[in-house]
Amino acid sequence: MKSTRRDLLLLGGGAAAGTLFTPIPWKLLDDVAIRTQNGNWTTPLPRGEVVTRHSLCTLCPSGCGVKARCVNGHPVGLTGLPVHPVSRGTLCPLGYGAHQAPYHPLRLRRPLRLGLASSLEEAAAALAAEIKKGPAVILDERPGRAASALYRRVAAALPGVRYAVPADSGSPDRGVDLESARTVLSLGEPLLDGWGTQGRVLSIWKERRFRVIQAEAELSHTAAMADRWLAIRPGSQHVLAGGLLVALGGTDGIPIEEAAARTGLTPESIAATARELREHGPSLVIGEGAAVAALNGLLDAPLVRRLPAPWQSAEAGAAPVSYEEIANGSVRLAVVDGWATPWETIARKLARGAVVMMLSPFRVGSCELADWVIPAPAVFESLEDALAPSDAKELSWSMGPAIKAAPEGVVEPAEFVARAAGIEGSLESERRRRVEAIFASKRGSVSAFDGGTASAVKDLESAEKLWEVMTAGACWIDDAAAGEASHWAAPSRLARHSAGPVTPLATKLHQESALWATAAGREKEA
Amino acid sequence: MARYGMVIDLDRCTGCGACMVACAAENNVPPAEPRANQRTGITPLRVYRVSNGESGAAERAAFVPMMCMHCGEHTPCESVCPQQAVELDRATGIVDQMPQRCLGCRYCMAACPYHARYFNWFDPAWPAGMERTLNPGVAPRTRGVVEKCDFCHARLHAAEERAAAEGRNVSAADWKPACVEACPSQAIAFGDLDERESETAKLTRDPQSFRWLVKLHTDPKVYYRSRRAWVRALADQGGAVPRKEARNG
Repeated sequence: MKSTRRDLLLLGGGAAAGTLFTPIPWKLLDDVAIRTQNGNWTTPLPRGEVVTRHSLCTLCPSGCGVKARCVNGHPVGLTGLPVHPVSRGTLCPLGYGAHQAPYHPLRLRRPLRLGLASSLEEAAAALAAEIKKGPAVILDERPGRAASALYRRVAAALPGVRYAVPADSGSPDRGVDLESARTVLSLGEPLLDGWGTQGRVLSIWKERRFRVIQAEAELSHTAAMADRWLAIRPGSQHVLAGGLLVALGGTDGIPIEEAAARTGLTPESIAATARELREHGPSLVIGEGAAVAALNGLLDAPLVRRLPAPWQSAEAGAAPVSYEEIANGSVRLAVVDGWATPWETIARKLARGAVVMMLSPFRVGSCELADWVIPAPAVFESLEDALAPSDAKELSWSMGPAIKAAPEGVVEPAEFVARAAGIEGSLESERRRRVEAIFASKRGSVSAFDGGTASAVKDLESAEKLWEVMTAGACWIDDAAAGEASHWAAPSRLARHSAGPVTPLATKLHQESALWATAAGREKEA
Repeated sequence: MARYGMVIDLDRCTGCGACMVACAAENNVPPAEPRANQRTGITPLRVYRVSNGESGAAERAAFVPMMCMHCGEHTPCESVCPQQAVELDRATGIVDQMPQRCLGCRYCMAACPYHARYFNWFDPAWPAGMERTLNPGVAPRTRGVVEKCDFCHARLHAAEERAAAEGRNVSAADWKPACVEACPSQAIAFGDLDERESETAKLTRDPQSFRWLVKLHTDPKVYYRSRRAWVRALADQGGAVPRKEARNG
């Protein structure tokens, strides 16, 4: 029998068709899929023992407690720390990606002078030469830390050097008793999406402890979730505050009819809001301006005056001034600890030929324009401490240990400045001074982050024992009765997230959804 | 046997996005590729902003976290997958995705009525050093495969191991997905829907609870609840239009 070309084709075709009924092609496909996804070109995962560490998130001044799963000395996952009495086991959206921040592409690893690589020795020499000439200012973006005490000591020791804090910083002796509030009127503030310690505010709000009235032109996240949204004209928050002041019987307000015309609300709506604030108290008004302070006074708002910190008298240093209060064009050297202050704000105070030195973990924001940028430890890379946020009632002070090593070439900003200025002092001595003052005062209790229950300070045997507890990660919280209530305009933005580098993961919020990771981002879009 | 599910309280969700970031960190989702957009990026859990369609002072908005609904019947993605890369685990009720089997045909994406599946258009890449922060329990997916929410299956495996070491079966109290853990307003309840007396199962029977597109009879195991009637009315319209897409036209 002679085979023809047709037979060969038939055999080939038949074999190919028949193979489809065997496992061969499917197994091959399966194997290809598996092998292409498991080769050495895929991203290797960290391998090693998983250990749990506790620390503080220092992306913003709130200092929330963090529980970190770590492998090979690197955090691989974060959750909130329930035993932290202030953050109450919550983190904000950025906090959940904070462990990735030290690897941000804009991470600084060496000093920069006018954008070019320099050395720490050169930077220290330049700082030593400039700071003694004055007038100089040290701007501390996260006041209330032990580092702040060291800066204040530097400012006190050198004539012509002032210690400044951002204009919207809270005050350590003022707190907000949000837990007691039943109604909160927010005049355009991002109460539920970035005001104060975001996770903490939301955890109180979800317990339905307070009603929210949001007065704002745009249907923001807070307005969307508020019990009542007052859609006012843009920029008319202070007018509404004035109208409410009159409706509540106050003086120096704005007649209700006029307030209604200027805000776009009806007089009845303003009157009803005033009635609601009075009848569903304690009520709190948050916003800017004197009218807000007057409203809080009329409403007997749950704003508390904390007792002075136990370490207050032990910390001799320059009194803080608001950076806004410094005369324009008067500063020859600005040392900025942080990256979030807008360049326009810094530059307004500078004299001709002034030098700006920023100490920041990242080369972002104003660092791009500064004369010097010094690399600082990023979150979780050093022993950190944080004062109570102003949206909390009690005074507290937390410490969290480093949970990963800082890269070479990174310096503690306050110690770098003190050393360059020739001032004796270290962060450890400042922290020890605080711990000894707390122990001597016998005030409050300490919650250790590793799961221990809160211990009263008066029950601890020695200051050294308290130091051990604090440096392992703990929060001291005051239990002393708050002083007399006084009234002020609750700071409009207590702990705003920096406009600097959010974690790369959080950029997905911007890029792939209709959400903003920060209130600042939302405002930018608006 | 369990039937894990969620109830998401939309009256508590402020759209902060903590669940999205926690989900991405837990599941080793790489940082956003510069070219990625809302269609080509990877967000196993995505929070949409929805509106009541009014304008001015009458407008109202809500935030809807959307992820795989873990359909219980006629699971559309499972039935169309030619590679058996999708499987409804009858022991847990979780719809599993096995990227190692996936060929990237994207039939499942076309079949999913909830748009809860994402295709890896780009090679996963992390900035130098950041791979040290990856969760060792979850393998990164490569370019060319589909992924989705699996209720943080790695956490379930870890809980099963712990329970086995203690000589007992795993229960819903032993673990929870990253989004549930992260939500600062605790809007997401998670549990075994077959445990009729559990808090989560009780919430599913609440008159204010609903599921998206029940008319398709997919039996989703993710429930939502809201006291706002207009939000509940969206459920069968499939009309959750994200604001960004509306803005982009």
